[in-house]
Amino acid sequence: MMDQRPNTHLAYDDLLRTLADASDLSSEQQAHFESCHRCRRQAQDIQYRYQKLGQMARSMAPEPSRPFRVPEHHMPKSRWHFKPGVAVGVLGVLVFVFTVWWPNRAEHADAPVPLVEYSEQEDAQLMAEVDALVHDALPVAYQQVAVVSEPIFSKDLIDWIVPSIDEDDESIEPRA
Amino acid sequence: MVAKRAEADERSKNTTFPTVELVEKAQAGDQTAFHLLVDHYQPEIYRMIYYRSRSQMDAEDLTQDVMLKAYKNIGRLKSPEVFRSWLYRIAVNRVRDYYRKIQFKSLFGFVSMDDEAFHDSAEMAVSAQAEEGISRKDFWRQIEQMMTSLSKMEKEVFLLRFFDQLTIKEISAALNKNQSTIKTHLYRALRKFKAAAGDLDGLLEGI
Repeated sequence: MMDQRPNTHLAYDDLLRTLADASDLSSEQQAHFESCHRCRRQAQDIQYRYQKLGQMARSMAPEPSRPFRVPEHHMPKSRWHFKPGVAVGVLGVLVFVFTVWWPNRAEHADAPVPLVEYSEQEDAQLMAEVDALVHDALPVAYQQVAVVSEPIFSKDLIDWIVPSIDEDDESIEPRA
Repeated sequence: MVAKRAEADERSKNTTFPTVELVEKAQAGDQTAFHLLVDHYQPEIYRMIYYRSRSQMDAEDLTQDVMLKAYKNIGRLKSPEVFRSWLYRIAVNRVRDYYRKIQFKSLFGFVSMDDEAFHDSAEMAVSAQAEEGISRKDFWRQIEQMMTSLSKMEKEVFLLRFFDQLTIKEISAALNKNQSTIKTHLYRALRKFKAAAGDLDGLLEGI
């Protein structure tokens, strides 16, 4: 038996619209879509194709090779956490105080302070040597090597010229 | 509270993965919980960045950056149930940053965005298990060609919907646009993509 109803099947564009938002269709089209098996099947077929495209893209993308772990310097630190370095330092100071400085305190108090003769010439010579070292810190063989200049656009400069998107933009609560 | 959490978990992509519970623990300073979240979401965030940068190296670096940012700011996330969208939002912003910086460098000729070498070789980037079917290089080239007529926003919405499998609601949260705007962009993207790609038969044949 032939279907006497006019051809009200959805056009391809309307079927695409159902993928984005079926409620965007006119009320007549919505009513038709809800009752028409053929249109619903076509829409499902289109959706399936796009989903399959996404599936294909996922299968053609690599996997991350480095799992993220919070770097140590970003981990929260406990205020009273035992620090071996500090403990060793404190112990060292105590040992120094009680073995070296404390027993000799009385002797040091009475001992005359040795006088050192000040020589202006020696002092000037020493400073000249220090200045020479500061000026030519590299060994002679390396002093003529050309200096490698910094790249014109360092990472910091680029960050300054093209600043990252404001942190606050990410703190705004997404629309739930 | 329990009902809300259950509803949110139901909404998450994998219903057995307790996103909300882990986010709450991570917000309380539980690093193991944060690492569990990372292990679950890192691959999809990595792929999301890879689709846009098409460089494995940059995708690795940007993903690390996204995760570090998420760790630093997770305490400011008021609704743990939108964690996934929030993560995508950070990633979208990082990718935008990436392109802005690349564009700036290209102004001075340090890098060419049109250069083939700008993207990794697609052959290098394929996963080992996807060796068969059409050439990966061809696949990404075709996708790129089909998307040339799409605006930036249309392209973003299209990728988030079909490649990253976000719902309209999640896309709306990730891009901070209302849902009707997202639907409009998605519809336009589908029309343009259809005009360029037809019924996708050529592309899908390779699967």
